[in-house]
Amino acid sequence: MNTRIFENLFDEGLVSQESMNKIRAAETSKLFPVAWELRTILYLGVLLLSSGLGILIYKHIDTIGHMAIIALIAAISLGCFIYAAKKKPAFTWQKMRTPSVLYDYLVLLGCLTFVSFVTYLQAQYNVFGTLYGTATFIPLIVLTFSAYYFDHLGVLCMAITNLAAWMGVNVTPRYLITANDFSSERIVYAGLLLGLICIGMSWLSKHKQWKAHFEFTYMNFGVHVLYVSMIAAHFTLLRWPFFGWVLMMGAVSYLLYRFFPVVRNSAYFLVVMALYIYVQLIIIITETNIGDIGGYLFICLLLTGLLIYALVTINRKMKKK
Amino acid sequence: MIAYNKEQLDNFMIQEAAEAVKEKGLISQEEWEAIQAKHPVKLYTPNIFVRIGLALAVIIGALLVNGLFLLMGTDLLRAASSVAGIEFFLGIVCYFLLELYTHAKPHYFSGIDDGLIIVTGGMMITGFILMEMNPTGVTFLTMFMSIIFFVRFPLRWLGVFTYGSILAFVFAFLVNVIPAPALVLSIVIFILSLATFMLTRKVITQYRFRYYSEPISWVSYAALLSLYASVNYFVVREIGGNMMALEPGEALPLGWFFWITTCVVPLIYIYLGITKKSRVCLVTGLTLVAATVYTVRQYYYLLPVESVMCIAGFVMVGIAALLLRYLKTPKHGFTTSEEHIDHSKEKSILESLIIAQTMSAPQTPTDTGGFGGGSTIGGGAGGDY
Repeated sequence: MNTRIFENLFDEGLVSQESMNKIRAAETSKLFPVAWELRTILYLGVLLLSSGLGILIYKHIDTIGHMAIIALIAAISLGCFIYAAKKKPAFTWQKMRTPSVLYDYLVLLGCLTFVSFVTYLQAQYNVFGTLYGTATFIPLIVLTFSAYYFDHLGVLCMAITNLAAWMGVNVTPRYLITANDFSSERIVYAGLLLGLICIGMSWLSKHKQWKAHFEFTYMNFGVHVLYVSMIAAHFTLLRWPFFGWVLMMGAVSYLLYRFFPVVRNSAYFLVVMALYIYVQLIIIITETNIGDIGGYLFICLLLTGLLIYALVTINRKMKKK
Repeated sequence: MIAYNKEQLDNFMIQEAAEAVKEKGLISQEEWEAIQAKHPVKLYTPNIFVRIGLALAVIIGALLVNGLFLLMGTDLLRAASSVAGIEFFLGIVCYFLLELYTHAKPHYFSGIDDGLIIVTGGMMITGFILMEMNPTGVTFLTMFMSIIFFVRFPLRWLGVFTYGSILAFVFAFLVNVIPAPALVLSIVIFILSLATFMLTRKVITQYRFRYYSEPISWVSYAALLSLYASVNYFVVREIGGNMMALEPGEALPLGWFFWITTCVVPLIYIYLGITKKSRVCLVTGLTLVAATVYTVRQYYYLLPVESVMCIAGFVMVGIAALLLRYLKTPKHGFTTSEEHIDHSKEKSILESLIIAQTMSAPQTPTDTGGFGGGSTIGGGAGGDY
């Protein structure tokens, strides 16, 4: 198919003989890339292994003995970290070239087992007593350190979820909305704060050049957590008259757009922000109880029209770049 | 046949192909610019996120309009048939808009076309259901409409949907009209899938079907999956068992045959994938190994689930690590070189979301109180009309 397209271009005189030969040669000697498949298998393997081990240990607790299990988990975790530390090139604040594919996954396995190690210590021996904060704070430190030291985005995600857990919020994409009790003021405040922290970290990553490629991940968590919390704030916190929190959302969106190139240059963030504002507006319209259902549908339709207009504008802005 | 402007589609494909070879340095910058100048693309094809957003907005908008129409004629519309009339009317209007958008403003994969196709199809089918048409008839009309839509608007998801609707019709026809026995059903689906797969392989390489080759390649994945499903012991036992009124726990007649196919088909896929260098076969085969393990576990208790997880995880990590080492320098035409991995922004966003989701999140400590309660903001845009 490809060769045919270029043969046509060649006939039109748009592609030179030399380039055509290169394309033909590339087409015939094409290698079959399997890197993505192998990576996926590795990733699933690591996940299966770590969770399988977890269950296995949990079930056989009375026969193996706690000390042996804790030693085993610690050994796996330590082994992974030692391997990673040996393979790792010298630390830089820039993006590091991964020494090998295996390296990435062993760092991941090391961190996963480390978290189970701490959880286990706490569950079994109550090492940290009732200081639950400490039990999540220690993994937080280790994960954050590992994310930067070993330069690993997956571990960074773990660190952020851990920070959230420490603050009392659940931020895995699937549970962000369902598993958090947003009627509790505390959670809403924690969510707002967490969102701001993530956005702040995103800014620092970029401007201080502290692993500038972490910018996107921080912003991703930040935007979702902040906007969901703002929607929740509309219900639980002080009810500002009319469109208080929507105006807040608009202001936040404007600031993000104005001061963060990562947001300004990404259709993803702009679309997500537009959708959040749309949802918030629909919620408010539904709440105000217009009384006339026809009018209600009509206003919703108007809002949907505005959403389409916003999306088309976003696309036009993106195209220009 | 195709609704989109053919010349524009050709230009679109030319630019895509040229960009790919330009990135590999096979053509020069001047050639790339000359190609762009000679084959300009005027199609409106927004970014994938904008596309999803637009599709959602169009669907919601159409539902709202639907609601308004029904509201306007509440008194007139006592009978279901008149509601069906409204659905047909709106469906036709949507189809008209769809043609308008793809011709006058050349929308192509813009989300507006996706949304309008879904809305048109949905309204028509709702109309037919309101007319109290029987299920076989509904599946037939669904199939008929999706084929027409697919021929005019070759979108990837629509290709898979069309194939699914064909399967659904064949299934409904065999079960409701003929009352065919379960084994015949399995054989028919098997042959249909195999024929579809062979056909897709042929079509993909043909230049004259070039507009369809992307969506058709998605259909070939679906065909391989349905082929496996038609001979998988679990699927045949559960669906066929219902039809034959088997007692729970009773074995399937010819069960040994289905056990063999359940275990062998994924291996054949993987073998074909490796020898023929076919990604479709390789990826489906690897995925279906998991399905086979699941099927076996459904009936035979060999090992507790955590042992299976550990063994599988260990084997997977081992095989992948060995292969990565073995293929460090390309052998037998395979390479693990990272340069072939698609590093586009969209892909990396999706990847980071998947990682964030699957990464076992630590439990939130209980002293903050009140977790697991209901959410106050579930409704959103979806449930409010």
